Amino acid sequence: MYNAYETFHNRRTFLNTFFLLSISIGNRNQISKLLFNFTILQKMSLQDFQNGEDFVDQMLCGLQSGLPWPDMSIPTGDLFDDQSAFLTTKLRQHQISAGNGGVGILSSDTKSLLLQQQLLLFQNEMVDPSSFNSIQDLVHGFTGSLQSNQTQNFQYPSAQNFGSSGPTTAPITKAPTTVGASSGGGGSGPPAQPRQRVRARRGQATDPHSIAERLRRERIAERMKSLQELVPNANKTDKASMLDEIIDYVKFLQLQVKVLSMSRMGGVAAVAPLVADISTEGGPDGVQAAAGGAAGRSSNGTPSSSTNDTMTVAENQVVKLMEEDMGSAMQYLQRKGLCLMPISLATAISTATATCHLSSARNNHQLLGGGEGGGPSSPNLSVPKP
Amino acid sequence: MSPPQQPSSTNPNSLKIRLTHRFLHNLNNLNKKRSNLDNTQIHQRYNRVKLAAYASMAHVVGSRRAWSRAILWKIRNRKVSTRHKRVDHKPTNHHHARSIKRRTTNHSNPKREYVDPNGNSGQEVKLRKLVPGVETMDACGLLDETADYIKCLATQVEVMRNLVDLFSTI
Repeated sequence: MYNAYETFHNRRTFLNTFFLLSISIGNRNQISKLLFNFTILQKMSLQDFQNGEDFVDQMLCGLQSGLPWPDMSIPTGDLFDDQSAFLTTKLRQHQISAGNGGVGILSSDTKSLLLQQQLLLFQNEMVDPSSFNSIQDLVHGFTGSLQSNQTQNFQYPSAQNFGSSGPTTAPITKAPTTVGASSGGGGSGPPAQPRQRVRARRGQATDPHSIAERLRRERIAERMKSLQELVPNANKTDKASMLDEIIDYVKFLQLQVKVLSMSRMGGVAAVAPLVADISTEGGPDGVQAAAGGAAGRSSNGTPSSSTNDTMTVAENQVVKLMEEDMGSAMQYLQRKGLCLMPISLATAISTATATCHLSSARNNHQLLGGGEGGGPSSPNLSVPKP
Repeated sequence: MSPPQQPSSTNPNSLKIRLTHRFLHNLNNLNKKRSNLDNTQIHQRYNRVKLAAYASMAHVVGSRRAWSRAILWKIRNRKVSTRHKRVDHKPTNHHHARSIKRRTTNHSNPKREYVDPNGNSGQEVKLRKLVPGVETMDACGLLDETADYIKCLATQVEVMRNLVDLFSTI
């Protein structure tokens, strides 16, 4: 584009090429839209009103295609909201009047409005630093040419407007330095950088969407961190692998619940009324009574051919385990004359005794061992010492 | 030693204590209700214990979390549908009860394609299937609920493991 500027000396042909270029790029790119509107303004300045109808037609179609622009310009930053809103309203008024009138009412007002709006939007946009410099030069070229042309056709009002547009081009010169320094594109760093007025506005005003996006991403990152502490395998290389870990861990936990509820459910379910009574009564007196009652009540499904003593031991064990770690529970057992041994030994003992109850215990031990997988082999409570 | 009753905290020790109490209570209730009917069937017993586990987990957490609300609601619907089943044995009512259950438990769209129109990845969808009650939440809330769910599941597993270890040799 810069080459085109240099090579084409004649403004008109140059403008035509730009016009064609911008149309070909289409309305997707901000740069193309800028070019489009600049070309329109140039045409406005260059062509006389003697060309009449075709000029008006061009302007009308140009303005109409530029309609999405005012809509986009509305959600700009706080500092320039008033100005852009004002400009958009004025532009719309002029558009309506132009549409209705059909004569060359496309006066200097609309032109100035367009130019100012473009400059505003231009400042508010995040343009890549690479294309920025070329655009900036083009802007300088255009404004210079516009000013020179304006003095030919519309002297008084244009002088006012382009006088105001002059200082607005000044921040643009400062802007590339900041854009070059920070990473281009949306959402670079915190919005409140007081370095440049343009910079702060740019950070805030990029879109409310990008700010919301940034906040959302930060919140998600926080939650991921807290999840990472819960899940045992915590190497946060990226979000996707972390999510996979989380999913696997949830599945694993649910599987553990399944397995644990399958194993020894008879035993647990039978002893549960005992412990439940204890927990509801909550006193040591209730322990003895409940133990006696439950032992009498216990159905044939109980694996426990136990006496009241072991029941009370078990109850106290439950309480201990709730309050402290397994270590203290083990100590309690040892005080009571019980010992702990690994599962394999316990199964060996149980096979040695060879009752049907103990064989079922062994099966469930094996199930437990298989279900717990990679965890440490849990020490198993043993049979009371003889 | 942490105090046993702190309803607002999810301190792991207090959570464990409350879970244990509640779990045993639920087991007791379940066994009392249908003590004579299906005691011999292993599969049904296992289902009941599993249900007791999840129910206790959900009750302890209460209505604070979306997943616990979802579990409690499922359990309630399940009870309602089974009650319908028991009262009338007509096939129409049976279908009606089943349809109630299906309709109420799947209040979001039952078919979930792997890429939602929002552009969710397959992972998020999987996570939503695993954690109950997060069907309609955004990604942020989803992760929050998942964290809480994992915490409670882990404590529940620990409680169950300890209980089983305790009572296995008796």
